[in-house]
Amino acid sequence: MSLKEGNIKNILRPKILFFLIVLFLFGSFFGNAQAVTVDEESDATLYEKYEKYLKYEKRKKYRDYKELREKYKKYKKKYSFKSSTERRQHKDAYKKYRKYKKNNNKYSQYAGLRDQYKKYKKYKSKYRPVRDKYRKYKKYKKYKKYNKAKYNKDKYKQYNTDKFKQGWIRYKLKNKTTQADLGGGNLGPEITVGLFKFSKDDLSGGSFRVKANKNYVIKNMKGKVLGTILADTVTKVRYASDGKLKVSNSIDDILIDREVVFEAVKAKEQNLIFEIISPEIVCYSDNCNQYRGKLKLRYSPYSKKIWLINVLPLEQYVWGMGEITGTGDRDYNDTMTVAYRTYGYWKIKYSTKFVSEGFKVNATPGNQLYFGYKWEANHQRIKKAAHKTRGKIVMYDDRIAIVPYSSWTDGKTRSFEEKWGSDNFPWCRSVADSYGKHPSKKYNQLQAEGNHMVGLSAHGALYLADKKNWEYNKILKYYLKGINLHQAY
Amino acid sequence: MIKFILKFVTFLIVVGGLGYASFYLWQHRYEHFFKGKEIKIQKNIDFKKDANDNWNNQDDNGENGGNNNYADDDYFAPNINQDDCRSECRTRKSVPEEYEYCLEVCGLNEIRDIDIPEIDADNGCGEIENVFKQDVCWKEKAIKEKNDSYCENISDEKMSEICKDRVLEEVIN
Repeated sequence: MSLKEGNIKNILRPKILFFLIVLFLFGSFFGNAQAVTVDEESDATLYEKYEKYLKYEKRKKYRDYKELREKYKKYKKKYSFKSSTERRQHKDAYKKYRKYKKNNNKYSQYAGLRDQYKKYKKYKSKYRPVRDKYRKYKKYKKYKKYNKAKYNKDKYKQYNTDKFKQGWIRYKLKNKTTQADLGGGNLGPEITVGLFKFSKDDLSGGSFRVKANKNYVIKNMKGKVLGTILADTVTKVRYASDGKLKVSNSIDDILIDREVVFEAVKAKEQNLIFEIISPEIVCYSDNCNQYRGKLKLRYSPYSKKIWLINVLPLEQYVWGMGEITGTGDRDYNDTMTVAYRTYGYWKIKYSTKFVSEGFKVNATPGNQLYFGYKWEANHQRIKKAAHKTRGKIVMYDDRIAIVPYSSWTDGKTRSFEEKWGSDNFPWCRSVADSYGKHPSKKYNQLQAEGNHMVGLSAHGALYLADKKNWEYNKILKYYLKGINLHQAY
Repeated sequence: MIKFILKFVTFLIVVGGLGYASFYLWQHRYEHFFKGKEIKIQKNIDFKKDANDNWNNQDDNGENGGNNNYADDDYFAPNINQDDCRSECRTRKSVPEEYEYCLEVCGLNEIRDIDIPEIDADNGCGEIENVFKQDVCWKEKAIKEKNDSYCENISDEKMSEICKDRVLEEVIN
């Protein structure tokens, strides 16, 4: 080896070495970075692919259902009976002819029933299995929307593996959505409460009269301001005709189509209270003529009634809850406000019962008692409990867990399924309720008085809060299995 | 001796580095070197699948269209939103099918103008040929009998969910 060659090697060796080390380190980094990216992407990809498989399966199930439906119709026409009486007669004949087949001599009188026997046999062996299967498959009718060629690709079947399923679960958990998505500020989303209904006659003879402690505006149903009214000035409304309401006194007489709205001049005003002067509105507490938020008088062309509707944030609705007086233990009040709020939240989101009347929840015991501002002012402990639990609602996984409650039980609560047949409400299971047991009344009596005994037991909760010092979340979790408390706003 | 150790370590690092790099490249050979080819192949497959889709579509349509019993299956179910409900579905009034569907979804069924047969035990909703009317019938039956299992028979998913919620309202009342 010459000197020259040796020098070159000496110069190159550290450089080559350095290059290789850098390559090694960079290679490792590059490889790892790729691996992480692949992992992050893979759950989304796995989810996407497993979804395709699920849709493929749904399409298949829908088509099976359709096929079965046709078969069922065909068999029904061919093998079933016109009436249950006819079926019973054939069944009877079938039994008798079977006896004849076993012992010709003894039952020779049944020999002529052969045709009926055959017909019933076909009904039993051909029609009934198809009918039963069809009944099972009926639930797949809802997959109609997946009956498209794009979901029918054989390769989707290969996504039915644990790997894809696990990725699908992980992705779903990561991107979990919740039903409690109504938003709203500190006071939550707006709720519309049906307070009272008047007949056309009620508001033709006498008028509806309202005033407020601060300046307010009158609007029509399109939101157009018809006048700004000074505090303590009374506005009168009468039913005119053809769904029109006549507004007077505080402004020049005006006919308004179907709906009159009273609200604060400034949208953010929280201390405006409306007072209904007439008609005289009587409720259990005789305290229900003052309300926060907005008031609406709305004529419903469907029921031909005029509804007085209160529109206010959910939290203020809870302040006026009439289900309790607030005199019980603090944790009991907390428990009840959470249950009350959850019901209201669910109603805002899902109720369709009173849509044609223009509101979501009724202020009567049929839904939840709501008495408004005067009640709130006279029962400050309810408001205190509402403040403590502000925005908290009961949820089961990602579902709003509506909380049925009744005053008393007979020593145990009932599951939703046991009482009302549906297994869609797994949080309402039967639990022991010795503290909520009525001292004398039996099941039937309690039921007749409106105690369904599903979900929360009010007296049980009161005892647990008062005597056992249970906190509201412990009480709720005792009566409602598997729930969690969610901060909805 | 130190020289030998240094040489040996260097050798190990070099061999390890090269080995790892080669292994990585081999593992990801399709991503880095054959990407273009794979896309081409994929395109061909997609093209074939499109042809199949058309064929399958024809099959689906043929089955639906060719058989009168299925023709009613495909009632139009538009996406109804809160604005539609607030306007009492007036926005949908120009298309009668959309309007009726909107009224059902929004819970405004009191204004409904379609003829739903009387529900009785012998003549169930399943007998009604028109699927939209059949859905409405199941919903009515579920509410009337406070039994949400009837809602499962509703073909439209949205209406089925609304039906369940509506039954719950009745039950907890």
